[in-house]
Parts: sequence; structure tokens; C-alpha cells
Amino acid sequence: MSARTARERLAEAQATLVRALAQGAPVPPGFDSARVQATAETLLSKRRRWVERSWPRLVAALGESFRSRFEAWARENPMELEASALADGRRFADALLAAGEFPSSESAHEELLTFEVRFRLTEHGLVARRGLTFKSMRTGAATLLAARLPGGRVLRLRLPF
Amino acid sequence: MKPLSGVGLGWRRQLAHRIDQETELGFVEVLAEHLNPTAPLPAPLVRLKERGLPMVLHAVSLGLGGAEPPDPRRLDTLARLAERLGAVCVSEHVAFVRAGGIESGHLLPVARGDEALDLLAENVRLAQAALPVPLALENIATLFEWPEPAYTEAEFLTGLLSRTSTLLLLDVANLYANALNLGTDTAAVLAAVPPERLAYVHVAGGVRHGALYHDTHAHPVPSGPLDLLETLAAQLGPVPALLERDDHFPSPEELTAELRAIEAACARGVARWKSEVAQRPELHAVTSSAPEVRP
Repeated sequence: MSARTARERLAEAQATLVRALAQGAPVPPGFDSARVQATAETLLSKRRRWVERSWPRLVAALGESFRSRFEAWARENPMELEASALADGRRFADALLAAGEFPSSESAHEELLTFEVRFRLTEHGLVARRGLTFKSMRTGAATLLAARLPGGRVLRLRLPF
Repeated sequence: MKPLSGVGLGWRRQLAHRIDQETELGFVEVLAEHLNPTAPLPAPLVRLKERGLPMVLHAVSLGLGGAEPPDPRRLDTLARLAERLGAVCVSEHVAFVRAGGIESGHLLPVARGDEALDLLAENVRLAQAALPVPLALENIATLFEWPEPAYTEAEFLTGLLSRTSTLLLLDVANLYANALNLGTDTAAVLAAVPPERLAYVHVAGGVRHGALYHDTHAHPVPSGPLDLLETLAAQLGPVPALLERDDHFPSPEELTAELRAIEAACARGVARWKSEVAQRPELHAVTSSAPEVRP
């Protein structure tokens, strides 16, 4: 048996297990199904708690609906590039924006804007911006402006129109 | 590797001030994934480095138990961080973390058979070749196992140690959790630890939810892991042991009490080891290679 074949076999077996853990796919035969499901719940709540920490204002603005919304979204959208809560929360925010369900809270918009001037999501994952970056965002009652200065400081401004 | 000694504490930003003030710590462990590889090191870590406090770089995302060889970019990042910190070793886990393009964000168990063991050993050798300091591997806690394991946890660790030159980071809290949740034979695992291959020991707290014990690093350390630490020290003599606390940080007094409890468990074990050695001097030759505790 070549090492390549062994790696391929292992890759397939591990992928089947990870799909069961991260996406609720059927538990592969031979495993203790209840224990795999208990682990899946641990993974999901860990992922949710990470996002709660990285995106506290968005989470606060969603209130009690955050948990169920995030968990439903997370099962459909496993972490693919990196286990990063900042990136995970940003993708969740994207899903809310696309569905027109991003909370109207200025605080949550400000958090998103701060992320936007500091990072960008690329096909390789989260990348920290360098140099000077400006971004603006309209909320119901105001326009929010943010600038990332060279060196990393972020300045914010709220225009009441 | 430069031997570690005494009681250590996992460095976290929330504990940085405490660790800065602490004079009795033997060593600290720094989480690789919490450091920005392109930014300067956090100032408190620079101070610890200047103080000469031994540091271990601890990583969770290499996935050495995975089907893929370890990612050269991840290894390169670890190697650079280890050099910048002046780390005495890099530690990782006997686990896989990603498969099929999905990041689990968790340490998942490897199948305990020859095929998985051979691939793990190959991945370990690739990682060792890329790192500037020794690698130590940690046993994980898991709620489930792969079907029909060919080896027990103790046999699997022995197999890994014989197939590679890796050091061992024995986590007694993970071992305790697996004993409760899976019936792992703790005595067999402790007996499988060669003194010259033990880098250090992890101790952490957890909580019982229903029938399962969860290794959370966010609750007090129960007596179980401390008993295992004592047994290990009774077998090997002084062992360096480090407390991991990741969340719900306790008051300074509670943290001190936990560090002292670890020290006391080690001391009880060492006392048993000494009386054993005194009664059976032939044991001394075997056990004298255990690292010395700082006076």
C-alpha cells in the first residue's frame, strides 16, 4: 500500500467525520452517534462563543435571536479557510446583509465598519490592511465614517444625516 | 531541550499583569494562534523573555494527525515565532483539526491503528524538520473514539514515541476526562511515559454536564487530574506542570491556590518517589533523568 493511498483513505474517512461534526451529515458507521453529536454541539457552541467575543455589538443588536440565527447559518456554512472568529462573524454579517436582516443598530454598523477598515476577506482568508484606508456606511439616521491610519489607529466619525 | 522545571501558567492577555508580577513561576506557555506573526511581540512577552523565563510555544492548528502533510506556511510561522520568543520547544497535539476543506475549530481524535500512526509519525517528522526547537506532542480529550481501535491510548502513545523522536506533553486533565468519558486506563498511560521524553505536564479544570465530563479550561481543577499528576511524580520524580486557564478567569487568590495545589500534588508524588528510591536504590538509575526542580 503506498503512502499516497493511505493518505487518501484517511482524508476521506476524516472528511466524512468532519461533515458529520460541522454540518450535521450522517454519523459514519461504527462511531458512537450520541457522542459524535455531543461533540458537534460542543463545536457549534464554541464557534458561537468565539463570534460573541469578536462581534459583541452585532451579537447585542441581534439580542436573543442571535443564537438560533447564528447556529442555523453556521451549520450551512462551515469554516473553510481558517478557524477565525473575526472572519466567521464577518461572513455571518454578510449573510445578514444579503437577507436584509442586518440589525439597524448604529453600534453594530460601527463594529462592521471598524472591521472593514482594519481587515479584508480574501479567497485565502482574513488579511489585515496596511497603510491608510477610508470607509463609510449609511445607517438609518446617520453616515458613519472610519479611517485606518498607517500604524493601525482607527478614527471614527458620525455625520447625523 | 533545555529542561523545564517547577509550576507554569499558560500566558493569556487576561493574565499578563499577574504573570508579570509573579516571581515563582517556572515557565509559561504562549498560544501561537493568539500572536500576530507579522506584528511585534506583545510588550509583556518581551519583558518575560528579557527576564529569561522559559517559554513554550503552544499551537493548536497544525493538525499533525490529519491526512495532509503539515502546511509549510504554518510550520514557517511557528518556526519564526519560536525563534522570536526564544521558545524552548513547540508543543502541538495528537489530533486532526481539518478535513475535506472544513476547519473544525477543534482538536479531533485520530484513529488508533497502524495506518493512522504511520501517517502521524511521518507528519511529526516533517514538522520536526521545519522547527528550530524540539517538538512535544499532547494527548487530547475526546468524547468519542474511532471504531475498533487496534491500540489502547497507552499503546498508541508508546507507538508514537517509538516511531518518532517527539517529546511528550502529558495532559493529565485530558487523561482524566478520557478516563471518565471513555474508560481510558490512566495507570497504563502514566506507565507509558518515558521520563527522558516528558517535556512537561498540562493541568486544567473542567465541568460535568450530565454523564459527560468536559475539559473546559474555564472551571476549577478537580482533584482527579491532581491525583494523576501526583502518581506521575511518584513514578518519575519531579515533573514540570503547567496550569491552563482560558476563560472565566478566577480571582488572584483562587489562581494562586490552584498553582499551589499543583505544586503540592507534585511534592506529594516526589515524596513517594523519594521513599521508593530510598527503599530500592536500583530504581535511581532509571529515574534520575527526570528534570530537576528549581530550588
